[in-house]
Amino acid sequence: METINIIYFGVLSEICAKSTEELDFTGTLDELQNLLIQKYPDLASQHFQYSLNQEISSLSDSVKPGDEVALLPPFTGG
Amino acid sequence: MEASEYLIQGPLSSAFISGILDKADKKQVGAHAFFLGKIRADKVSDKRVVGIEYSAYDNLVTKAVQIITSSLLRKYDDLTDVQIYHSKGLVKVGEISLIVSVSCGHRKQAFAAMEDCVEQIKANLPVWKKELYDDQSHKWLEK
Repeated sequence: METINIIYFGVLSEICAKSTEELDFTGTLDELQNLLIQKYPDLASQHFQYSLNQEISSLSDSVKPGDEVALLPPFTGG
Repeated sequence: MEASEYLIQGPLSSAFISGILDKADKKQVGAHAFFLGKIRADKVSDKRVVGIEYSAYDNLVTKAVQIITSSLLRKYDDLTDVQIYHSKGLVKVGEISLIVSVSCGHRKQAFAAMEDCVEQIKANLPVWKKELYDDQSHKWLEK
């Protein structure tokens, strides 16, 4: 698999006008974030965290082809 | 994405709640506490809430429920069972969107474990609320 799979949740799916997308990307989450903010400038003002392959992750974590990255706004369940 | 067994499409019914009770241990449980989360008809400016559309990250919900459950069972020695179910999709005003059930030998830990559990769900369950209003508009809640 060449691409990474990105999932947008909550308000972020509205800002990016999609709930998933595939991207050719290798690098850190920090680098991915810069790319996504270029693509969707309104992301810059949003608060969210990342999960990488379904584990909550930090910006220094590395992403490789085949990985699943999700952008998670603050949880509001209940 | 694999569907989470802890997420139920639409509102949670009273039949679902009694199903949890029916399956519960009949011999050792002296205190069975339930928490039901419901949708309020809040007024926001001049609009009225008519429902909430829930979305969730299924795989992470499954992990989060298992982590919450095992942490509670470690912390409360009188606690024997925890059941957590959350709605996904549309839940209208007055309907139930969250069921938490805890089973204990005695009432004291049942009350404490219940409050602890609901707070952990609020903080750690990857679920998002979109509030729907009577003028067809909506808003993603931020907390």
